[in-house]
Amino acid sequence: MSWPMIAKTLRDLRWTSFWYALGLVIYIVFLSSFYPTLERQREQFEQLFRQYPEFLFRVFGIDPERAMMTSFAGFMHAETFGFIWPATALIFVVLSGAAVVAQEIERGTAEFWLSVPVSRARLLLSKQVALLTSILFVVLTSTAALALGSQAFGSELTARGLVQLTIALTSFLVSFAGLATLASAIASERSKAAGLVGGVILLMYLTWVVAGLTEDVRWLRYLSLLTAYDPLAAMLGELPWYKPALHLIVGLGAGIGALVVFSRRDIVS
Amino acid sequence: MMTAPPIAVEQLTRSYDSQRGVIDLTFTVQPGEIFGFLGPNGAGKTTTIRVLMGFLRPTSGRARVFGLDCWTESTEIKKHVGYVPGDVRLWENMTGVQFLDFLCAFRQHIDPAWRRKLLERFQVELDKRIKHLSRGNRQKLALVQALLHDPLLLILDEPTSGLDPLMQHEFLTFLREERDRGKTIFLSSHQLSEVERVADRVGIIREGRLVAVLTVEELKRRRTRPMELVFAQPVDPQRFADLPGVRVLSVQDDGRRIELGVQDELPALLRRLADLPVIDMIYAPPDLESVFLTYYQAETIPPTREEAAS
Repeated sequence: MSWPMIAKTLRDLRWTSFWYALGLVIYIVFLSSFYPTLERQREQFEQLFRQYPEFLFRVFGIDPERAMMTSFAGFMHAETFGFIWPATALIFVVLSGAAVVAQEIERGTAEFWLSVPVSRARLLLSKQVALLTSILFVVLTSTAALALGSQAFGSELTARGLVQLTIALTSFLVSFAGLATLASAIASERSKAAGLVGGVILLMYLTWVVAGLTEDVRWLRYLSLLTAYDPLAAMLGELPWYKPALHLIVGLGAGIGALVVFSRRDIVS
Repeated sequence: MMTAPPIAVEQLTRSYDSQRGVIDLTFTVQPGEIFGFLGPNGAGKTTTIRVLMGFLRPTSGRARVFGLDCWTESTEIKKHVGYVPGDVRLWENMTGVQFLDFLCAFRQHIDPAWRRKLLERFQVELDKRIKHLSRGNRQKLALVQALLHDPLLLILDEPTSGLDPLMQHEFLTFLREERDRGKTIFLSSHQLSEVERVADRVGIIREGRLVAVLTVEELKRRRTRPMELVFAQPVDPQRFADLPGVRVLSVQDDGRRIELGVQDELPALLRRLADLPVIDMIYAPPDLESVFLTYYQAETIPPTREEAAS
């Protein structure tokens, strides 16, 4: 590990992390404040939602059989953690992950930090650790905001649920951060790395949506990392251990792959 | 480790997918010398340096620094090397002092007195953000970061580009002082005059191949300086045929305008010119093309001009 590189990367990411975290916190607290209103008129809302086609729920990451607005967890899943939160956090993770190597090569700054007496693998590992720290910051501020919203607007989230949500969100972002750093280690331009991972996410998303629509292609869900993303189960304290484990394995595997690729590649800006 | 030559390159070839790179380079840089690596843009200087720095893997052949392999033992090599890239691009949002502190943090020991001396000598702007610095000031930051850990070997890719003439002079003087302190310096440049001023030996690279390795004295003997003469009346170019070290490069306007290549053999030429109706004369400083003229005479004479027998 290289502390100067960790410190520099954290410094580079500080404002990006802060603004993404702040945006998500505001969104979570704002949405939480609507829950008491919804709770008072629950029956009317449920009737209204049942009239919408299933496809619409699937597109926004909601399983209508499990997660209608019948609880605070279900409400926050439908309104925040099912679609808006992962979409926003993934933009942060993909852009930040894609920048770790490719942007520095593209801008010509890589030649300076690669001329220091530290191995490439240690340097990139340090950048990955800094990115993980930023991910934890975004996740912890979001779960803290959710805990605050839960307390303020009278609901039932448990500490176990919040811990499991933290694990689910972190492992989910780690999986894509690993893929983003791998793409960054391969590419020499940030836009190419980000585009590659963005394309993979889009494919996974479409696969996941289609798999939820009909039994015939239900097997497609095994091709998408989104299948293992289950914030509702986490908020209820019922998260199966294998789901975050799968995300962590993918993230760590891709992260290690990035270290290997970066150690062996040519640096041509 | 330090008994091995600072740089030893053996039959080094590095090719890109569609580009040439460098082909079959072999040379050695001795301890305590300034080795000028001279060549036009795109000749392969930066590719060679990137192989030495472990940024590129050789396609074939070997490159060693202090006896260590530049690809597999690059981390160890970098303890003893200061490097300035050819295209200096820094982190725009850092200040100068943040940039230097960041790179210093990777090194074992930086002598504060040495750092102060470098900053004073090169008058580096430390407090402004790099995005507000001029090109010359950015270049000075890049030079200082390479020198801060007082390395045994400096690998400098066109280090004076962007510096004003006074700072160029100061930096070249500094390089000579460093050489006298026992440091080895690998200096890439496309400016012949710069290399002539500081280098002990010169490697000349063109189109990816090493054309020659020679001392600066040999280089000065071999290179020609272009002299353009304008006469009031036509002059027969054969009037210069018998002069030693003088070659007619081109003849225009029926002999009223003649371009010569002169190998520092001025006295006889000046005596001859005194007998001729010279109305104007331009004696240009030596350039890289004139060195290549020695090796590739036929290729370098501009085809659009009227040629004359030498």
